[in-house]
Amino acid sequence: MHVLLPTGLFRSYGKQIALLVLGVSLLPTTLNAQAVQQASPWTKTLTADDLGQAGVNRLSDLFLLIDNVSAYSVDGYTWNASFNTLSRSEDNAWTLIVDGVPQDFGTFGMQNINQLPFHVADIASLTIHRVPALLHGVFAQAGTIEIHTKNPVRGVAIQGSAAAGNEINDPGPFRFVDTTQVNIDRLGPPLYAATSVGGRIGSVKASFAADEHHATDAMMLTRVWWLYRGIRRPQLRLHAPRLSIQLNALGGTHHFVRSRSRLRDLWFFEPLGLELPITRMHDHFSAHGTLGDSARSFVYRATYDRVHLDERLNRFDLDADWLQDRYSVHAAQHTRVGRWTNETGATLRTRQSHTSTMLLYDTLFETEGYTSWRWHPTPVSYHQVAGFFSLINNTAGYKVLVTGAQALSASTGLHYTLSQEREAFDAANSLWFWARNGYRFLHTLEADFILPLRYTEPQTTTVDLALHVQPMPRLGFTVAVSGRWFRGQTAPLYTFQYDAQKDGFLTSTRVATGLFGRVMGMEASVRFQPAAWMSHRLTYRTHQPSSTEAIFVALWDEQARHQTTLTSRFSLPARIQAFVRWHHIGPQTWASYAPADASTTGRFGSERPAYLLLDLAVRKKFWGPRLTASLTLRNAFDAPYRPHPAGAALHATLFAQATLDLTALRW
Amino acid sequence: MKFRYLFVLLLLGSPLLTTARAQAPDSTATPPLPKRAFLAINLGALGTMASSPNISNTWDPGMSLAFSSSLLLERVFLEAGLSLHSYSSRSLGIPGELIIPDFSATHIFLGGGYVRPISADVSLHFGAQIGTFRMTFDEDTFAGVRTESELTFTPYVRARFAINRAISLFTGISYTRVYTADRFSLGFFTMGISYARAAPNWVVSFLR
Repeated sequence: MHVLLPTGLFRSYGKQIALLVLGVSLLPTTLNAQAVQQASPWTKTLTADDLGQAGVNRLSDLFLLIDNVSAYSVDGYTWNASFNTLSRSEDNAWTLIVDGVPQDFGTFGMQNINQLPFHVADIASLTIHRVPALLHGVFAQAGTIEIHTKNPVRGVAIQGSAAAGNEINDPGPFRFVDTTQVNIDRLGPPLYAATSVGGRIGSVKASFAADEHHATDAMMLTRVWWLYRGIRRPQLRLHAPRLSIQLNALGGTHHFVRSRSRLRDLWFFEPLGLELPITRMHDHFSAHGTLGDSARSFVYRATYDRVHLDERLNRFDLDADWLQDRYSVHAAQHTRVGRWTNETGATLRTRQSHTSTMLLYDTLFETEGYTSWRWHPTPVSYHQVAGFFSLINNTAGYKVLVTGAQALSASTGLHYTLSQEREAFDAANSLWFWARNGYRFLHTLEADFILPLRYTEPQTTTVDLALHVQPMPRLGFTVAVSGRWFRGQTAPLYTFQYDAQKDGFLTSTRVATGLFGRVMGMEASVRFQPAAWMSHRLTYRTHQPSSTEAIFVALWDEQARHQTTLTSRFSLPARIQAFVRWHHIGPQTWASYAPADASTTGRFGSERPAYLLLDLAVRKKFWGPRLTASLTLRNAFDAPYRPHPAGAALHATLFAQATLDLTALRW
Repeated sequence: MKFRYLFVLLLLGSPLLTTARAQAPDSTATPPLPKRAFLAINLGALGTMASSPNISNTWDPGMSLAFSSSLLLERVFLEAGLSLHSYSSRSLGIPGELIIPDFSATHIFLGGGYVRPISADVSLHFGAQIGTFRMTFDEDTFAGVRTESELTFTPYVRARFAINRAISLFTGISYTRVYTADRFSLGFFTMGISYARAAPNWVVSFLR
């Protein structure tokens, strides 16, 4: 594989890369299997059993289980998240990979994990990466959720899951006494059904997922009614069929996936300060596979995604009028020679945008070549260096990753990750990029916004170091520090004025570019397992943004600077499992809502207080592993938790879920 | 076309016609259920002793019935059941007055607790239930909506008097908190009859 290196770039950064590689190679190589075997402190793997025990009903509940993630939602269904301060929550820059295929379904910074065409019941395991990583040929700079769905077994399998949730604080009979009380109503039900047939040569699996969510919270109901038109009360509805085929042929394994998800959404659209009725369609087709053996293998992948923002019935016939076809072809070769593993590959991507008005340029071509070398001094330690070079419509970029783990003593391990990325402006996902290139939607809405003359190229450098000490098998401590240096960042700066007529906002937007600053962080955790049937994990994390630009700091203040979680898991008699999680979220400041805060005397408060949340879950398995029933109580103290100033309060909620999994039936 | 039906039949019917494969041992296996397990069916009548002013000022509670099934595992029990309630409005229908309708409610609950034997024939049951209070109104609350469900929490205590090995009478008091936006509480006095027998093997094995 030949990769064309821009010589200027190499001259500028080649010395730094060489020093990093040298630094890594000089690290002491006294190896200890036990210490290094401890998983990276930034990587967490959750099995289907872990998810079931924690009472995960929707995929977005995952954000409740991951330490050091800042997540917020306006409607309680669509969550924006930031992993380990790698990006701002609003950017939603994390990567999602399903069965080795990166999912390309984000649009204009919105990436709703609940829109995926499968259910929690279909997950075999998932891995969360909270540092930059090279995964399946993708440089995932801002954190990753990697999902592995259940492989069909030989024979026939049937799966089904149904859940119902009810949030407290409904008016009940008092609605007839005080008609100003607003209904909150139920959540869901999330429903899922799947069947598969598997044999020696492969398998076929078909599934269907559906979900509902009601947008009836008092903080947003009037706003929603301003545009929404429908017979039913405002709700989000998801329908998502999926078909996957696996073939074991030609000396390898080959997968074909076809899915479509249709989410009738009420999208809180900041430039308008209202919920926009919209239908999000995501069509996906992928073919991927592996050929070869453990010494040398060849991986290929071809994907097609169509993302369509379609009209949903609304009072003013607003149509986002946006469709994008995304094609991607990826090929890579993995070679193992002794203690060295090499991965070299290339990816070609094309994004073709369609809208009714003329775009300055409607097609983006992206070419990316990369190589990664991984050294395994022993089977349980490694050091990895990877370099990416990309070209997006003639603009060059690069990414460098250095990561690894090293045992320092019998009970101590050191983990490190360094990365640097410099890319062309994020053209795939940014509303502001396309607004500049002729997308007229914001003009149609008569939104008040100012774009910069040109966008700067963002550059991000990250450093993560962690020390893991395990003095006893059932006791472990981890301390991690992180540094992020951002340059050339682009972000919208909103000002939300209260509009009494629609109980919403009049928004003015200025898109700032060239923002710079740094965010330093620290995380400490202790894991304690006093008995085989119970375990506890206490985690505290903090971060501190700093910059000479006050705007940069204000944007980062939207994330709580302090978070503490205590997670306990219990396995009780009669195969009952229990899960308890305490989560303390420190105060946040959303400066953009200060004008609305002042004119509503705190109703849309820009200063979010600290919250203490308690989640409880109990699960019982019946009939072997085939039937599970769980009860989950979220926010058991009914803290007045509103993660976003304009969003719904998430009251105490009881979920009941039943899952049937007949996965081992013979013909 | 025939093949399609055959395929569907095969897909749906195969779980019934075939035996399941042996399952791998559960990694989270915990101690087995006690050998002595009893299954009881309880039928009772509930009278409202007290209710919050926000309810009692506007609605009159009627008689209530409760049905539950419980599994006794030595000193511990688990139960699931439902109770039916009715509330009639005190509204006189005077013109200009708010229309406040009657409503009925179904309380579906899961719970468990601890058994404290007092003598050979008398025992005290201390328990708690979590459930949902599903209210059905005679008028719409919101356009097209006549029902609402709300979370409940119910601690209770019961005394059980054995008549013979199978039948017993019980009486007790309970306190139900309903978590509507304006919370309300209901205090009940309960009397009823219970029939118990050794839990069938399939129930115990199903629970295992």
